[in-house]
Amino acid sequence: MEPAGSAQESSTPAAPAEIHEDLASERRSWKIERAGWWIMAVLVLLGFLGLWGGGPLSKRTISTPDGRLNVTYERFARVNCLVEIKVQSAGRPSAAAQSDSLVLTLPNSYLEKTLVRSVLPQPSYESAGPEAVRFHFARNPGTRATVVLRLEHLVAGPVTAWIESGRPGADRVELRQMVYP
Amino acid sequence: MHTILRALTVYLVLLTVFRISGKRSLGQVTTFDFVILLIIGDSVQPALLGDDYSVTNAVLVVLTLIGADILLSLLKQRSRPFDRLVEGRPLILVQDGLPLQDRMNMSRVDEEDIMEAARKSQGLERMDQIHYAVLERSGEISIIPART
Repeated sequence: MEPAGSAQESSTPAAPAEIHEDLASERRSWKIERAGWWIMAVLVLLGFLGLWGGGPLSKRTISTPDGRLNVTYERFARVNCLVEIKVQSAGRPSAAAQSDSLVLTLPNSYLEKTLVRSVLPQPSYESAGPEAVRFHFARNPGTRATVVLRLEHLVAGPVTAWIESGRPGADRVELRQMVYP
Repeated sequence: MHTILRALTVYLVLLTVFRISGKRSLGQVTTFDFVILLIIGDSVQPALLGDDYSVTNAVLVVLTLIGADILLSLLKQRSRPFDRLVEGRPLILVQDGLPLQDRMNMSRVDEEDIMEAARKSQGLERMDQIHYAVLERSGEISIIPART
């Protein structure tokens, strides 16, 4: 006998035929809903941590073995979302001024898929080559310099780029990014 | 091409998320639900249009969304299983004055929700005046009063 005031039994044998309920299907639906909630929670948590861009999981710093070139960037980015690449380059105290210039090289294949919004400081000049664009910056010889690029990715998908500082092949690091749509 | 893909993706994602969130999410719009709907509308707008604010782009988005809606309604009409998948089915929550508690718990409906619907639609005062309370596919609660 069911307790007065509420019915724990969930089947309703006397339901009118015109109310087309299907409890079995409803229970399946509830299970899928609950699973869906967990998936949503995991997606939000991963987003908070930065797996979809902007967070501790996304921020990465890579350096050359001698530590002369450090690049901090976002490993995960999104299309049309502004991201920053910070390049820190140590100078060569004993080098002559001309050979210790700060030159950042970015491949054309990377620049074609991005929109560079700003480069700070402004480069003295830029030179375009068959494979890459070189940004030339003035600096005091032997000093450490920082350049910040702010850019937007235009195309979704995995992206690889390399950044060189100084003479071609001198200090070079490779960036790998995943750009979400 | 990107405009249409964006519009379809956003439409399908919203449909799936609202379906997963359960019938109650849209059936009865409280202040809380209204805020959510308002913010969601503003959140998806840049994803739909991107950087392109032209009339052409806006018309393409609207046509894609309306077209997807029409296609969905045709599919629902032609396929009962698909209709059930997308819309669900009505569910009896109260029978002859007795709340079916486990169904109500799973549907996240409480007795106060049912009594509110009973007062608004039928002017009823007590649970025992309800013959059936049905959670409709839309999330609204419909009340069939007991015959006196």
